[in-house]
Amino acid sequence: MAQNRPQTNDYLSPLKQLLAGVVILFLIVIFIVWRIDSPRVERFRVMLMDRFLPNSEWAMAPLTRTVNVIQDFQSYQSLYDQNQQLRRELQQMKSWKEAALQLEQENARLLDLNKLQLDAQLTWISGIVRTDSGSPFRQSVLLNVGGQDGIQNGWAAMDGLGLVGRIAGVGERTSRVILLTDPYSQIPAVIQPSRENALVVGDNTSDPLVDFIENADLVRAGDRIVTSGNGGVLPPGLLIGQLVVDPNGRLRARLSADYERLEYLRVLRDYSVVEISDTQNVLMSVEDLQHQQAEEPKDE
Amino acid sequence: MSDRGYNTWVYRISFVFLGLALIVLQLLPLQTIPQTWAGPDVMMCLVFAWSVRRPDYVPTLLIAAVILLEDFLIQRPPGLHAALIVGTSFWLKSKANTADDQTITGEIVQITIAVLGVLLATRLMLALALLPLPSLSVHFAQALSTIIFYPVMALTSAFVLNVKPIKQSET
Repeated sequence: MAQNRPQTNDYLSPLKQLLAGVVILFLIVIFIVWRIDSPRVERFRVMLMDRFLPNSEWAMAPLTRTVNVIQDFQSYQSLYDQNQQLRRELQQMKSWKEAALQLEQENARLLDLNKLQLDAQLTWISGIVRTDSGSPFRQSVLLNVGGQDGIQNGWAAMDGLGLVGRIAGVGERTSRVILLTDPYSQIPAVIQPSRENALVVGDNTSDPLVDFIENADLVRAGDRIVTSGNGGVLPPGLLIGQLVVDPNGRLRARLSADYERLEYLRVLRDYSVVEISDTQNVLMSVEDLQHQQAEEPKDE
Repeated sequence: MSDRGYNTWVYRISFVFLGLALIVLQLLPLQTIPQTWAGPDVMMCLVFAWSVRRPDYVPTLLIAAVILLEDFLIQRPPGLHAALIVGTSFWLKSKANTADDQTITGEIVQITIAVLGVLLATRLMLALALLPLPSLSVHFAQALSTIIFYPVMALTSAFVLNVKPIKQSET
């Protein structure tokens, strides 16, 4: 077939050029469709991941395990130092544990006095981290729990201590967590103890920016940052991290969650999240908003 | 002749499997902290190295399918990267066919132009579509490490996977 014909003609033939042109055009059209109707294409992406991931798990799990073992092996060198450090920390923890136990008992007594009931809805579903985003420009992880486990968009994902991210994209068997460090992540937060509102904005660095503070004089490095629950985004009071100042003088959040190795995450059930089903009416009129805000105190 | 046709298909199928393996490797949850630099885009190296050597092993449609799947799975804007890679690899294929015997320096110059072209075009298209641009330093680091990694991929392709250009005398 290709024996007597010089190769030269083969890839410059008009037919090949036409084919390449059509393929490129088709791909650009996909990009434009994604830009215009992002939710639909993103749903397709979630579906694709849902299909692809369980089929490749047999290869991924052992590979991840092997690399982690190698990384662990490297840390054997500093085993003795680590052991000493852990002992010291354990000693400190014991005193904290004692304090916590006493506080818990006191809290229980006070709750009993008030006949208060804790919110039963604030329970969680545990998920195992299956993949990361794969790209150096996005920060997200994929959990092995999804729609069939009752996960919904907008729920908070925590590790044991702090907020890790927010669910965005739920498949049948998987769900994606957009981490706080992702360039698309913006979380309304409040800085304690000054109660200044702020926005924690991911910018693809390990410490996201803390932006839109009304009065920056009232906050100091070391202050606690927790979610504010403004606009129904995430339940209020989840720990995000501590305020730090970077060398350029900008405020950033040092995250409490251990991003070094995300393995298991807790997804908090939160049925107050507003489901966006009708994208045409996403924008609320100002009167509606004021009306809603006026009603809110009555509900509590 | 039939032997060569059979061989081509073996290489096309192995290209698909190599592509899938590269996607899976990228997805392993090993890197959950944002980095200040980025490793090479191995997939890009693979497509370019094979396009230069044996264009018939990586037909346009196959490249488009594999890169589009990668776009979807690793959270890139779907279609953009795929379109640029298809276009660039087509350019490389036509270059490789017009030059009779290519030097390794010439090839590396071409690849440098190709990788930087993809970088610029990506940023231009994202800006045109009013999308946030990835940080320039990380993006540039990725392009740079891709160019540095390219000779490794080229040598591996040539001597381990035996993807070598057909000499005129052999035909």
